[in-house]
Amino acid sequence: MSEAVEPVLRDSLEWQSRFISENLRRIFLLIYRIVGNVADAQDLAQEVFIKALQRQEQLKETEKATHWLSRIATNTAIDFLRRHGRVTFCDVEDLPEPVSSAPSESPEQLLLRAERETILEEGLQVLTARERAALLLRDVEGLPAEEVARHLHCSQATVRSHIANARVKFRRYLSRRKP
Amino acid sequence: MSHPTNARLALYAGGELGPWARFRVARHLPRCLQCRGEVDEFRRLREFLEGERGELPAGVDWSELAAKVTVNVRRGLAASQRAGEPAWERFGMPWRAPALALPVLLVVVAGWILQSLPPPLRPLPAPGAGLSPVVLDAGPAGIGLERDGRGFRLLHPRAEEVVFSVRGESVRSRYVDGETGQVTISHVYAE
Repeated sequence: MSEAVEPVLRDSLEWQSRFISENLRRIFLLIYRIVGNVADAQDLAQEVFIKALQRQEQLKETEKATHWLSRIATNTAIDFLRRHGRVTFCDVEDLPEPVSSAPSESPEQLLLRAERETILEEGLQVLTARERAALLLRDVEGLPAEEVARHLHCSQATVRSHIANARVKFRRYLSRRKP
Repeated sequence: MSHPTNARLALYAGGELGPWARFRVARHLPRCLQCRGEVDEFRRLREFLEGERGELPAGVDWSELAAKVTVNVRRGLAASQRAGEPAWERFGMPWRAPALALPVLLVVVAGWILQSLPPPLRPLPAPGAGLSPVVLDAGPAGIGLERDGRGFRLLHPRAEEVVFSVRGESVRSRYVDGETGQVTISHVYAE
């Protein structure tokens, strides 16, 4: 069956698979951190890759493609929140049992990881969608502030304000959380 | 001593302040333990966030999720490509379009030809088929014809000298107008 596929098409399919596998985890996590829900993040990640691959000719330069993909992902996630209201992270108790994605982890490590995850999710929950996106792009993705401003279609001053507010709120959340 | 705002310290920790603001905060920090502590906290927050870059939420089976997303992206792309194609190609029928268009074209052409033709002539009834004969009439008032009480007459009221001639199924009059001297010739044919 695969022999019947034209070489150009096969190359294109292989390229698409590689592009998805190289970027999916990063894009999924970025969206998940913004929308706070695995199922929605999965749907939105699919939407983002379909949008991006429909303009495949613009994705040839890897560096630009990566940034462009992050931009589509951020905007898609923020649009989603705008349509569906505020982010709702589910309670830790409601989560299914962790799948052993890293079987070598000890129970202590798993506990620590769950704790860090809770902190991240709860901390992000106190932020607005744009503050959350700005913080994630800057501090998690490591993009420069100018690039974050381009992603969010706003001025650098605005994005600096979002980043500063986000860090101050997150810090406040952390200090409240400390026993 | 005035302290920089928390927002300013947060931006200082991330390196987003402009040169002048950065200089002012940097000059303040060695003299203020409290602000130094704040900046350290913001730096620790950044390190924490950076460390979470690749961490998946609990309960996510990545290989399963990635496989699902890849398959769904493929399907979505195929569907969107198909949506962009004409309907007959979408259903794998490249020859159907001309086959469907040809009869429609023929109907349109036939309609156009029929419309452009003159209206059909009504055949005249055969002579004497249930009708009374046509009567040609010539008199001082004019010439005309009549059938079953209906007919017409060409008048020449001011004529001074009228010459009539009858030939087969026609009657002819020739006269000179009394006032203008104009000569008029009229023919009436019966079929």
